[in-house]
Amino acid sequence: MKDHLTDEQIENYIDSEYIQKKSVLYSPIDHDETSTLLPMKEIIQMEDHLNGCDLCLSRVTKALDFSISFQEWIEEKPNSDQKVMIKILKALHYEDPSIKTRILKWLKDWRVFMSNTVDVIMDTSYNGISNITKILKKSPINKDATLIFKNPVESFAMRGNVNTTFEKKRENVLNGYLQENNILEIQAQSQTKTIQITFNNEKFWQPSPIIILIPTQSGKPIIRAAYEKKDCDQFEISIEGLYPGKYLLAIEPFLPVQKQNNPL
Amino acid sequence: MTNNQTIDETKKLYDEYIKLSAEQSSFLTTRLKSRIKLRFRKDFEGQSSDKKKLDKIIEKFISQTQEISWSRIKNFLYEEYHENQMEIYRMWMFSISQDLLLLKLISKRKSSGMSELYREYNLPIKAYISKNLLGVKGTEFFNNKCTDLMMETFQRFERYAMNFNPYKGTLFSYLISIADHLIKDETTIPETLVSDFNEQDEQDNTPIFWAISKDPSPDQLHEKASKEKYFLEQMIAEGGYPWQVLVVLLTKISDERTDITALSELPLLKLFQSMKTSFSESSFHDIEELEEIFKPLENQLMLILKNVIPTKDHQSRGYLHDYLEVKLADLPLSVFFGKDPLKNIRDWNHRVFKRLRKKILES
Repeated sequence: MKDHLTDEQIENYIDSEYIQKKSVLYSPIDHDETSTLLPMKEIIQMEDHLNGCDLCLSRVTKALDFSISFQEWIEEKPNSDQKVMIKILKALHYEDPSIKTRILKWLKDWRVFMSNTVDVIMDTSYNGISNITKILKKSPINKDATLIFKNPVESFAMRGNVNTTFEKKRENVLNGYLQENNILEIQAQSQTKTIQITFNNEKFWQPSPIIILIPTQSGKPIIRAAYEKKDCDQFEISIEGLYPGKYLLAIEPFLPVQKQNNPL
Repeated sequence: MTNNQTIDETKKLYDEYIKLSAEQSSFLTTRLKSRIKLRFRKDFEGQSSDKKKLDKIIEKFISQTQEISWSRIKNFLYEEYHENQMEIYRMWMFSISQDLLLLKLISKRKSSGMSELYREYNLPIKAYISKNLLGVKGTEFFNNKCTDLMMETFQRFERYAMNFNPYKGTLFSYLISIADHLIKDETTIPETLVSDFNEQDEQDNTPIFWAISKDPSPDQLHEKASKEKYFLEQMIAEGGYPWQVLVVLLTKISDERTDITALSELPLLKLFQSMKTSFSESSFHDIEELEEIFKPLENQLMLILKNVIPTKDHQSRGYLHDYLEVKLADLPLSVFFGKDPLKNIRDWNHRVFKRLRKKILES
């Protein structure tokens, strides 16, 4: 084949070899009934030409890359984790460069990111019950997690084994523990639609921690850096006037600090 | 025949077979070379442009293919009605060398290898799972379960790729055996016993290929979002008639194409509005961004039909003659369907895709 490939030949080649190709259990759904697949003899002639012609090779590559990306896109749907990350990435556009850098670094390990998150139900329905405000850690804590989340109030066993510890759930408060130290308190208030996060032991949380509050249905994520509380060893973040709904609250991990110099 | 004779005969047969398979070298060289140049040029950087280096790599693949084909020749089947049986044999040899090429890339942790394997086999594997998994077929739950198992098949493949032996079977058969195990697990192991043990065991093996990884990567997600915006903009600008573009968008968000035909009596504007909401749920963009991207399509829907179909398109004008004075937004989709709506959906999907590709080739 001496002449360069025509557009039509390129299209037929891509369709025959990559798009319309039938597989053992699956044949392509979308096809043009008028076009037929190229015979092998013709495919070989074209490939022979492609191996020696950089111009045609670059044109086929361009059209092939497009064809495959488009087919993949048609089949593709982002999963819930990817949608959460996309929301955060979009919200980052408006942030200070130093915060942006920290969050991008934080997002690189999704498992660590997710291990430091809690679900927040703000004045909305949950499991069929209305106007619930609740903070909960649903997913099991994996070994990467540095924080362990617990509800603060423990009660005694009313019956059964007296040695069993029962946790009486104050559902709008959740504490974060590192080893035995209570270093974080998250509160949600239904009336004021507020989430308040208090970071105990200021030395430990350096630089001042960042949180991302991500609405799981609609709305933009809220990114906040904690401010130092006057006259006490604490950082605080308070977000008021939230819309009722479900949120994911992500707290910046602090593993590197802990490894270098554990202030506890 | 004595045992010695049998061994000698087999050796002779082997030599003859290697000669026959060597005759296919030029075919395999051409195919492999173009495959590498078109699909894996970045992974063979420096080698794909250096003729001698590339020839050497391909030579290795071909000689291994010959050996493997000898050990698997008993599995080779002729296609009864095919005119050229040698072509079938050559294609079989090529499929072996293609498996070797993919395996080499995957073993070197090149994401293009997994990507190609996934592209080639994700739909057949999903079809296999859907056929063999127990459950109410056609429901969203069942479909999601099949997708999850298909993803899990590729994730497991990536972890155990080094156990694959090309002398015993194809990559596809290996994937099928993994899918079989998962289907069996699904039907026999109670849900409560499945989770922790496997997760702990396999936690450190982060997949290299993001599409099958449960962990999203910021850079790749960003790229996906930009690509989606580009495809949508191009489709709306160059994809064809608004109802065809609308159907392609509906196809993307529907599990079954009959879901679209069921809505065919709805006016296009209503269909467009509900598509937009559903699209935002399975898109990299939120509803506000989609509003902006879809604005030109919405504007087109506000036009009278005769202003949308060019005068030179006599066929469409003739077919839709009764509706030419009606606003496109008020017309139901059924007006544009022929006798077989599913065929229309299939054709429009293919045509829109071809129009966009043509533009790429022309640019």
